[in-house]
Amino acid sequence: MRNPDFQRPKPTSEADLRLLNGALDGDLTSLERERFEASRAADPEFAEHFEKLVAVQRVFENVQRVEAPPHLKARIMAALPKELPKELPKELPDELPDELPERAIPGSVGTRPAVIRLRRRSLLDLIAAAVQPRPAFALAAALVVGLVGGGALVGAFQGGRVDPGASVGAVGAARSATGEIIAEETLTVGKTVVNVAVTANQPDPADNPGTSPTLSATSTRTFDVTFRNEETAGTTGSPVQLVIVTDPAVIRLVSFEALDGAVAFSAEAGRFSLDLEPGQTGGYSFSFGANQLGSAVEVLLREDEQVERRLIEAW
Amino acid sequence: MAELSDPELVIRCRKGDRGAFEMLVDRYQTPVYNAALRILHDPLEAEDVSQCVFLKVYENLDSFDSKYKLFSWIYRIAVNESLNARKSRRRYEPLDDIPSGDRASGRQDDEDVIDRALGRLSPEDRAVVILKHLDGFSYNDIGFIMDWPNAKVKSRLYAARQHLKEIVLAQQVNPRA
Repeated sequence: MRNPDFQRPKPTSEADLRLLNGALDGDLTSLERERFEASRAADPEFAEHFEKLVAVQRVFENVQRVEAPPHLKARIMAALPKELPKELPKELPDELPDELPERAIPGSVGTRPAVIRLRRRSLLDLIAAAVQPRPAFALAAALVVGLVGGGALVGAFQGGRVDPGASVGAVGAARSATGEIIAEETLTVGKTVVNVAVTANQPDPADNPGTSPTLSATSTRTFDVTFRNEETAGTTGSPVQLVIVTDPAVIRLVSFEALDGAVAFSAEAGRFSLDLEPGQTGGYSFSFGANQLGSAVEVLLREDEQVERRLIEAW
Repeated sequence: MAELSDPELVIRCRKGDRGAFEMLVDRYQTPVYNAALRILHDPLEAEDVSQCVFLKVYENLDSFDSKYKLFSWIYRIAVNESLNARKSRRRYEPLDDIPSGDRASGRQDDEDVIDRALGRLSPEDRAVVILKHLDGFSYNDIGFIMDWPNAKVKSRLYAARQHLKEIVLAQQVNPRA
């Protein structure tokens, strides 16, 4: 029985919207159902409008899903990294420093904000480990992490000076009288770019007899062996070769640039090497895109037989 | 491998079980592909997006909050990826060359009507209609997928339905409309 006091809401009202949507979706309460039926009975225009919506919906109900292409699953599985990004190398320190810099990345997909997390301690420990056994070896490192797109600096530490043989501690730099190596990195995610720059200012062996420092750094995505950057520098009296090898299909290498500004590497190439003569001050930088959360850059520092590893992970 | 529930799949995938992830792909590749196809109207692009979606799922499973449905979470990524791909394309498609795929011939007319009509909606309205009518998501699920409050889901769905009604009815009068 229709309530004589009932007045149908205006067609654009929230109540009308709820009634129409609810009726189409079949989730009206009994009271709403009553109001809806009252509206239909009282207003031919409302009733006609609803019938047309139902007609459209019936068309949708006849639509069937298209089967995914038969090769799609194989393509997806082939594109997956070899391991999940959480499967970190066992050599990494178990504990992370408390002061990990984190920052939410706007616009990321997921149920929680993506963060950039630096396993900074590993780098510092490695630098310290590399410096301590060889007082004559010079090493300085700076790490800067920022978002290129937003310009937000999420974490930084830079240079300092320690005595040969001393532990680097909480700063990312070490240096002795014989030379220095500077590592600078910018890790970004999404619209961001990863930059890794290593500068090797090598002493002249003639001025430092008996010294043979060698630095080897390798950057890899820990979960994907197809990307690999390798750099080697040393002053053993022989020319030193710096080598970077990447798979352009996986990582977009933007540039390889000598510090004098000469661009020596293009995105199309997958391998580049640079020879440094003893005593020569050489340096290079390269940048590559890492647009996927979960990307990680692993850097190996090797001095003679000693290999140390650090990891920068974005997830 | 026996049939696993979504939560079980997530646990196994997080442990690096590729077989479990393969099962997850088996389970959701068709709806993901269809969502991308309906939004993008390009089978090749839909494949690209589908691959991208599952790669993101794989790499971000650790961040998946199990209080949500796995399918909704995957769909959220799929819709976002599709809309992003659509935006990056920055062009409007008249939908005259929509592929018919494996559709049953008897439904071809309806399919064409729907595809043409969807193509005239904004990408977001298109997505919400697809979620509701083709995939049967609830308002809450659509709200989660689109990151909209429920009231916005309802109002956008209503507006999209209105628009669709006008388009479909116009096409029935003039099929080339």
